[in-house]
Amino acid sequence: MLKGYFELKVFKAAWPIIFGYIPLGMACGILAQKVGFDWFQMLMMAVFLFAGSGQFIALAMIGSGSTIMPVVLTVCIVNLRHLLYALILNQYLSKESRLYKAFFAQEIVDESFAVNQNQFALDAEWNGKNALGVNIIGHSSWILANLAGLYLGNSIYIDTALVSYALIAMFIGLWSFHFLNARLVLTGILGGFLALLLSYWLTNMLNVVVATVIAAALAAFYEMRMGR
Amino acid sequence: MSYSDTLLCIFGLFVVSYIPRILPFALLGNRELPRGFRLWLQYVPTAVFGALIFTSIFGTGVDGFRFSWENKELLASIIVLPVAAATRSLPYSIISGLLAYGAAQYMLG
Repeated sequence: MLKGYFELKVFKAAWPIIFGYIPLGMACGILAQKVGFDWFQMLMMAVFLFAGSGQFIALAMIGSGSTIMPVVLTVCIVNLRHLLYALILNQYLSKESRLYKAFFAQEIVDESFAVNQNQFALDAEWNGKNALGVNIIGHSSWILANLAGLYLGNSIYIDTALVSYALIAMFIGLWSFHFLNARLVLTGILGGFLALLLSYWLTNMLNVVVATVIAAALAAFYEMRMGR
Repeated sequence: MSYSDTLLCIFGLFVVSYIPRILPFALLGNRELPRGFRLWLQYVPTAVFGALIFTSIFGTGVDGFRFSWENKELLASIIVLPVAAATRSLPYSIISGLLAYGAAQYMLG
């Protein structure tokens, strides 16, 4: 029954996520402890919100005495980008059941999207079970790391800046897989500059969403006009 | 926020986070997408990576950009980018990133 979900190649694809999530998830647990969360609140947040920046922002806001609505609205905006990821992954999962999709969708985050998109694009054998395996491994390691951080609290030292950079380095590595032609590279750079420019007016990662939509649209428009 | 308020808040967070995650599956399903839309989707990953990476390195306009040679994320990325482009390998990207970032921390304090 578990065949396909947790094969060796699934772990091979998922290890950078585990590697980054253990320290980062623990840092998030430490923050939750400072805010006063117990294990049940932490577990609920890790299972049902499951979002790196979303959880950090929510915890920081709760810690500074915010009411419910501002937290929910802010995280709503922060997590809008998952819509883009779901749009892309949906193309590869047309054969899967509704139940599968309902479950798979909950575990879409930056890291699981990046790894799965890449695997689907490069490996013709990569299937829905493998992809869900990556999601489950990522989500489980996040939940465990959150709880570990909550319990260990300040008794351990985590260099969050270094750990966060490991995930940025992973994104650079994943981005490099798209350096297949000049237009793909330029679209990425355009997305980057637009995100910086838009960050004067759009906060909470909304700049990332809008920049992505515009940069990809310009590239697609150019390709349509030029006919390749 | 009281204990029950935080649980209510987490439920709200679940609802607003799950909607964008499930919407494309629910709306599009197995439908064949128009060519323009497929072309657009083809460029979304590279654009989103560029946007995420640039924002992570330089910060945001609201908080003030980190355009300086003291920016450790920038220094490390100058090493990681060519390593990634040359090797197309995640392990090499991450390891070179950790080493470069560690070196930048050591030198800049």
